[in-house]
Order: sequence, then C-alpha cells, then structure tokens
Amino acid sequence: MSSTPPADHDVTQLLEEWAAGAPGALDRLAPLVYPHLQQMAGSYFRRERQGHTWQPTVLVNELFLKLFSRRSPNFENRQHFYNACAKLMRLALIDHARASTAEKRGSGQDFVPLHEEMAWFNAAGAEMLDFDQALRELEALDAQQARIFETRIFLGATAEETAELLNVSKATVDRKMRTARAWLFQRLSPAGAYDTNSPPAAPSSL
Amino acid sequence: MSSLNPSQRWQRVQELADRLEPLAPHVRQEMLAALEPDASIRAEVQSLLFALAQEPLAAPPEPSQAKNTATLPESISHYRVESLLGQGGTGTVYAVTREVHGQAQPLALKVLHQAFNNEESQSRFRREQQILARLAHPSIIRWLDSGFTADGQPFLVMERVDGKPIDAYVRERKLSPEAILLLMLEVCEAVAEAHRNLVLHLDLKPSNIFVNKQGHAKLLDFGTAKLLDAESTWTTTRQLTPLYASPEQLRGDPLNTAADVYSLGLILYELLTGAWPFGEKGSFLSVAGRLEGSVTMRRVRGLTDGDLAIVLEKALASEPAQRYRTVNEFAEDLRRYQAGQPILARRQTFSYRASKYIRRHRTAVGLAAIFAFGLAASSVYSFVQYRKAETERARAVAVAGFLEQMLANADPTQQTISPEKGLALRVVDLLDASAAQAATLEKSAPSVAVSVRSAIAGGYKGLGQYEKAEIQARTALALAQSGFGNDSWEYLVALESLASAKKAASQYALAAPLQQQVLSLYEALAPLHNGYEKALSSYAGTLVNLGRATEALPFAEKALRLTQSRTGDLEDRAYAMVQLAFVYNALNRNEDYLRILEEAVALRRTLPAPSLNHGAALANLAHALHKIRNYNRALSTQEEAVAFYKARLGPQHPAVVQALVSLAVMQSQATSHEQALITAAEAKSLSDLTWPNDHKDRAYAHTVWGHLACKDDAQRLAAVKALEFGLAMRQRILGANHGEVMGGHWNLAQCLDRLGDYLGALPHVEATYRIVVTEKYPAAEIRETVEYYAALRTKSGQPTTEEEARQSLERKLPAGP
Repeated sequence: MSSTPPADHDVTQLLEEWAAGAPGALDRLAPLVYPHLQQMAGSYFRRERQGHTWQPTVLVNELFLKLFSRRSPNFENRQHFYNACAKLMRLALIDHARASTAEKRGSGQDFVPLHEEMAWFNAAGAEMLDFDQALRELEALDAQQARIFETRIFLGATAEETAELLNVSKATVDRKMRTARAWLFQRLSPAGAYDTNSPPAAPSSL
Repeated sequence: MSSLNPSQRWQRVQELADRLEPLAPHVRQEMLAALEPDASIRAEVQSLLFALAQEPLAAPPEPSQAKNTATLPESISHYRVESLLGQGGTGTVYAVTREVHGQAQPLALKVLHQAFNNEESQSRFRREQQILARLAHPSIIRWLDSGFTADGQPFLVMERVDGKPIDAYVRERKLSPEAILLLMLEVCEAVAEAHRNLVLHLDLKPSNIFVNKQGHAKLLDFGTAKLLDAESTWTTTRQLTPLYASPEQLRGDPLNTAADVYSLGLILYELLTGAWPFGEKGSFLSVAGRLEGSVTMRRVRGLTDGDLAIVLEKALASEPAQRYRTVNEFAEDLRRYQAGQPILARRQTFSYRASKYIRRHRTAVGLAAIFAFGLAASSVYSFVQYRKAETERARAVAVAGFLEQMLANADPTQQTISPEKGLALRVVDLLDASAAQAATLEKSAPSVAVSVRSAIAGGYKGLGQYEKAEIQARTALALAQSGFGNDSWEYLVALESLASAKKAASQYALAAPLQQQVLSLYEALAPLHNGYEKALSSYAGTLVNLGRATEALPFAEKALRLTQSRTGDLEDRAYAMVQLAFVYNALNRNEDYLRILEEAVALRRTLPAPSLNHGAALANLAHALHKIRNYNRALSTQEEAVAFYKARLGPQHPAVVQALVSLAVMQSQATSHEQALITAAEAKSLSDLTWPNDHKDRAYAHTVWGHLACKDDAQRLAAVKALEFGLAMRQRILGANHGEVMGGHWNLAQCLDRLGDYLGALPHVEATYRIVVTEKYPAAEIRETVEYYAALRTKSGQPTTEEEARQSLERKLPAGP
C-alpha cells in the first residue's frame, strides 16, 4: 500500500482554520495526515516487532512532523491540539490492527507491547479492537481519565508533561492512570490471567 | 443507591479503591462495608482492587536475542565470526577476525539486513562505504574491506573499536566537565574532518561515538551520512528515532554542517548535565519543543555556568542560521571556554541581534542605532563598575562588534526623523556623539576605550569619512601604547583599525607598513587567531593595489593555508580564497582566478549563513565566467548573486542595485534584450529608492537602462531622458572630465543619433572629444570620435570629411592647454 504524503499546504491551512475554531476542520484534517501515519505505523511494526516495546513517540514524531513541516502555526490552544494528536494516533493504531487482522497476519505470533506501562497488552494484535471499545466506555464514564490515558499512552507524554498539558496535578495523573490500567486489565487481559478464585469481573452496569 | 449515573458510580468506585488500597485486606472489607451501603458498588470496588493488585506494571516479553545467536554464521566471506556486536538500524554488526601473517586481526563486519534488500538501502550501504573510504582520521572508524556474503548481502569490514559508548564511559568513570570537554573536542575534530571532506554525519548520538581503551573518541556508523555534492539541497529521509536530530532534520528541511553542530551540542549538554534540555528525553515534548523552538533554553542556564551555557545555547539554537555555522566555530568556543578566554558566542549573538534588528528596521536605522547605542553604552558602564576584568574585556569586544556591525550597515545618506525632537539625525552625528562619549571611558576602562574607539573608526570608515576614522584610530593607538605598550593586544586592535582606515582611503603606500606591523604582532601574540589570516589577506590586497601582485601572492596563499588548517573555519577560508583570487586576477592567472572563485563559491554554498562577501564572490565569479565567454554560467551565477543579496539585504540596497545592473548588462550581451531591459528597469527604480540623492551607482543604473531602452523605437525618448539624467548626475559627482562622464556623453550622442536628432547629438560628441584629448586617451579613441563626428555632421545635412571634423572639433576645445 502506498500513500502519497499530504500536501503541506492543505495541512497547514486546515491546522490554522482548526486552531481558529472552524467547525469540521479537524474532520477534514484527519484524512490528510492519516494515511501517512498509518503507513508509518505499519513499517514501525514490521521493523520493531523483535521484542522492542512500542514507542508511541516515534509515531507521534511523524505526526508532528507532518503537521509542523512548515513552521508551527500559532495555536491558541495547545492542549486542544495535543489532545487531537492523541486521538489521531489512537485511530491510526486501531485501524492498523483492523487491517492486519483482516489480512490474517500478525495476530498472536508477534507481540509488541503497547507501552511500557501497558506492557501486557499487544499493540499488534486483534486485541486492539476490544481495546478501542473499552476506551470508548471509559470515555463515557470519565472523559478526563480517558484523556489522561490517551496522552500518556498514545502521545508518549510523561506523567509530568501530561499534568502540564491537561492542567491537572501529577498526583491525579498517576492515580487516574493506575485505575484506568487496572480497569482495562480487568476487561482485556487474556483468559487465564485471573486467579480462578477471583471475584467476578466488573458488573455489566459499567 | 441507583440514583448515581454510571459516571458518578465509576468516580465513587475509584475513590473508594484509592482509599482502601493501602490498607490490609481484612481491614479493607470492614472499611468498605462501613463506607459504602450499595452492595453492587462494593462488588465493583473489590473487583477493581483485585485488578490493581494483579495488573503487571511492566512485564516486557523476553527480547528474542536467542534467535540472533542461534543464527550466528560461522564465517562470512573469509572472515571468521566471533560474536554479535550489535543490531543497527539496517544492518547487523559482527565481531570477526582474519588471519594476517598468522595473527588473528580483530575486525568488525556489518551486513545489510535481508529485510532492507531494496535499491535504496543498498545504495545507502554503498554510499557508507564510499564515505568511509574517503575519511582517514584517527577519530573516525577505519574502513578496510567490503564484499558480498554467500547469499548476496553486501557487507563492510571496519576496524573493531574496543571500548564503550561515550555516555556510558563518562558515567562509569565519573568524568569531570574538563575531561568531558576534552573528549568532545576530539569528537568535534572528527566531525570537522568529515565536513572538510564534504560529508555530513547526520546521526551523531552517544551510541555512535565510542571511547576506546586509550580514552580516545571514535566516530562510528556513517550509515545515514550524506555527501555534499553538486546538488544544492541535502534533505534526509527522517530517522525513526530522531532523539539527537536537529530541528531541520526533523522538519525535512535542507541540511548543512549546522545540523551536526546541533547534535554535538545536544550530546555535550547531556554528558555534562546528565539531563535533557527540553521535555524529557525521548518524550514527545522533546520533539515538539525542538520544533516549536521555544522550550529549549530555560534549563541550560540553571545547569551549567555562564559562558558554557551561552555556548550550548548557541549550538542548540533551533534556527540553523543562529547556530555555530561550523563545528570548528563550536570547538573554538569550547577551547576558549577551557582556556578562560572570552568566547565568541557572546559577541556573535549580540551583534547577530543587532544586525537582525537593523535589517528588520532598515528604514529607521538611524533611530534604531540611537536606541541601541544608548543600551550599549549603559551596559559598558555597568560592567566597568561591577564586573571582573575578564568579563569587562569580553563585553568590550561585544560593544565594539556591535557598534561596528551597526555602523557597517548604516547608509551615510540615510536620514531619519526623531519623533521627540522632530530633528533629522544622521548616523554620522551619532558617531560623533559616541566619539565624545568614548573619552569618558579612557581613564576608567582604557581597554574598553581602545575597542570602542577602534569600532568608531570602523564606523567612520564605513561612511567614507576616512579622516575622522584616522583620528579615532590614532587616539586608540596612543591610548593602547601608553596603557598597554606597543606589544599588547590592545595595540594590535588599534593598529589594525588605523591600517584599515588607510587602506580604505586608498592610501596603500601608507597602509602597507602598518599592515606589516600588524602581521608581526599577530605572529607574536595570537598566531592562531583568525584575525591573522584576515590581516594576511588584507595585506595581500594592499600589495596588489600597489602593483606588487607577485609579492602579494605568498601572503594570500599563506592566509588560505592557515584557514585550511585545524582552526580555520569555512567562512574564513572562503574569504581567503576570494582574496587570493584577486591576486591571481592581477597576475593574469585567469585559470587559477576562475578555479579559486569557483571553490570559494562552492564552499560558501554549504554554509547556512554565508557572510555578505559571498555575494561579492558570486558577482566576481560571474564576471570571470563572462570574460571567458561562458555566458550561461555567468548569467546563472549573477542571478544567484542578485537572489543572495535580495534575501540578505532586502531589495532596496546598494549591493542589490549593483548586482542587478551587472545582470542586465550580461543579459543584453548573452540572452534576450527584453529580459535585460526588464532587469535594468528594476535596477533603475530600485536605485531611486536606494539613493534619493546623487550617487554614481544611481547614475549608472539610469545610464544602463537608457542604453538598452534606446534600442526600442517606442522607448527611445524615455531612454534619452534617462541618459541625460545619468550624465548630469555624473557631472555633479565626478566633475566634467571623468571617464564615466565621457561614457555618458558618448551613449547619449548615440541614442540621440538613433532618434534622428543629429544636431542634438553633436555637442555630446564634442564633449567626448574634449575629454579624450585633455585626458590623453589612446589615439584610437580619438580617431573613433572624429569619425563619428564626421558621420553625424553628414547625416545632419552638412557633408563633412574627417579632416574637417577634426579641425571643427579642435576649434571647439576650450582655450589654453
């Protein structure tokens, strides 16, 4: 699959529109940046699958570079921008997982840990699809928590950076991350990870 | 408790789990029961607590190292494989040996991965070999052999470096900052050597820099290096882990030596402080910060002291133009820092800012200068009062550099209105004021005073006021002599400014002995200072002007040799080349002249921000090419000169106008008349903006346009007007008998002739005759004038022989000899 890189001109313009608050600019932006990002994700997985932890920063770099290739526009709202970057990243990874499961490749055999804090989770496998669903649910329950998680995991920001970007305390970031991870572990961990004596999984009301 | 919605419910669950988690299990149950009446929420809390206990924080799967060792080949080609040394981006490196005279020689062998068996990777692999093959330096890994494995994979064989990556080495031995600097200077040497061979490394990082058992640095892995070849842009495919890459590499912009400077700066920063200058290492902010160019320097100041922070700041500037242009400049400042000498970055950042400010506000330069001088003067005083002598000296250098920069950029004719006073102030007034100010410095800070006086002399020189320049330089010289003696650095500074004032005033015979003295002082005091090279070049220029080009040659050559040695930076080298070119030109060594100009221009093209001299060198090269009738290259080179000046100076600048006029002339001779006319018209209107008053280059621009436009029927009247305008201006500036005035008459006569106004043309031929005769031009010129006069008279209806024309012209000459 070959994708042509987006025209820098369009990207810059949409970014500026978006930063200025134009409705729908992000929706139009995503398809421009995105194929490139996905291609990068693909080559990343092919190259790095030999036991390295997935480093979101690598892809995020690519994304930024695409967006910033002609000087950075003036963002009034950096927070907003980075948040959207995290969303784009998440989208890219999940689509990559969808594509590779459809091709019946890469499932099971290669294990690429999603993040050093989510090392039990395979970013290259079909589990990513369930992961997406789980994150949506988390988002509905606690939007801030989901954003913290995205920023840490998909942007690769440290706890300090996340706190700064989202304007919360580092303690909150750490706490929310822990419970988010536990919650996801509950939902997504491979069968058998639980002790047989364990209490039932979270009730369906969640 | 079903009043809670799912979101509130989840908050409650988290809150309880957080609170209970630190408690012992049995206490948890009791507490939970006491805190939460809702059984379903309690169940969720239990479940979450369990998950918190179970969830593995970090359990990366075993890296599949075993697989690699399993597939370790026994031998590759005729090299015996011992072990795996590492897995790089695109290749695997093995420790190998080869029997040489019964001894096993330890080597390293790098094989391209099967996965990278494509055209691009293979050619990159080949290029790495080519690059390594051309580099021979003790601090660069040596290439020894290459070939193909049994299954056709290319490999390289290199010396094996027994050592450690530089960061591990520094950490383990707890090296002192001094030792780190020494090590980094070795690395700089190696990188500079690569640059000298037109190789950019582009992937400098600690893991590519090894320190061997003897404690010396070695540069490894030129896998992403680039050759600076004929093409003028060198962008790179971005790496996947751009941890140490420059912002321009991240952006995919064109690259030059400054990109490697950035990486070296980053490595040094990390080695010295153990920290990362922006964001956290490898975090996304470290990339965003570099691209935004904003976060960079907050931390440097806190972590390293004074001057070193400034050096690092300059090396890590996000715009390549603000960075050290070359590794040598960077290394030079590190050496200066080590030796406790004032660093150059201070001066350069300061004058950089000043020049940038002036460039931005060119129209109000007088005002800007007043403002800036006030600033500079007050900082001199505060430093005089509070700082140590060394800092003071550094500051003086800064002030002097600043003044000089400011004044060199100022235009003597430019005036501006001070908003408060409604007065027209000229730069020259400002200089007069600063000259008066400088007197107050002489007692408190004689060293500063010498610098400032010399700088003011430089300013007057820039304005063409050579007498005032000389007075300032002499005052500085006297001060230096009484305060520091005539073998001091201060004396050298003052003497140099006096010599250059003399030279600028075309008093070459007087400048020459002064320059000789300058040279011997440099030899005694600072033979490695780049000022010495400049002084050598400048002396060569003086000798050429004195008609002693043969004598000049060894000086110009020595200057170039020095710049080519260790401390010479590329800009200095290009300058020395251009100076040498002047000498060649004077000696009529046309091939050498052309060659060295070509080299100088090619060299400066590799620099991110070549000095303004680059424009002059381009124009000279264009001229030389034009002379040998290589019109196409002459044109494109001249176009480059125009573009360069425009980009650096804005369109409205003397240098731009001059370059445009030359371009128009070349175009008219080489390509199309239409194009030439357009260029000349641009030059003409820019000249009006650049010099609102009389100026000989303004006159020239009008004359050239008029000369070209005269060939068009429709424009001929306007052409005559332009030629008349140019001629009148030349007469006012240059007097009635100047050669350019003569040319103006001649051009005008010819254009009037074309217009059919023969009677109008005659007086201009008469004036031409008067000048060629009184100024004793060659006989051929006189004859040509006479012939033309006869032809014109005949056309106007009075048939005239040449003899009659001569007699008539003689009669019209003014009385007396």
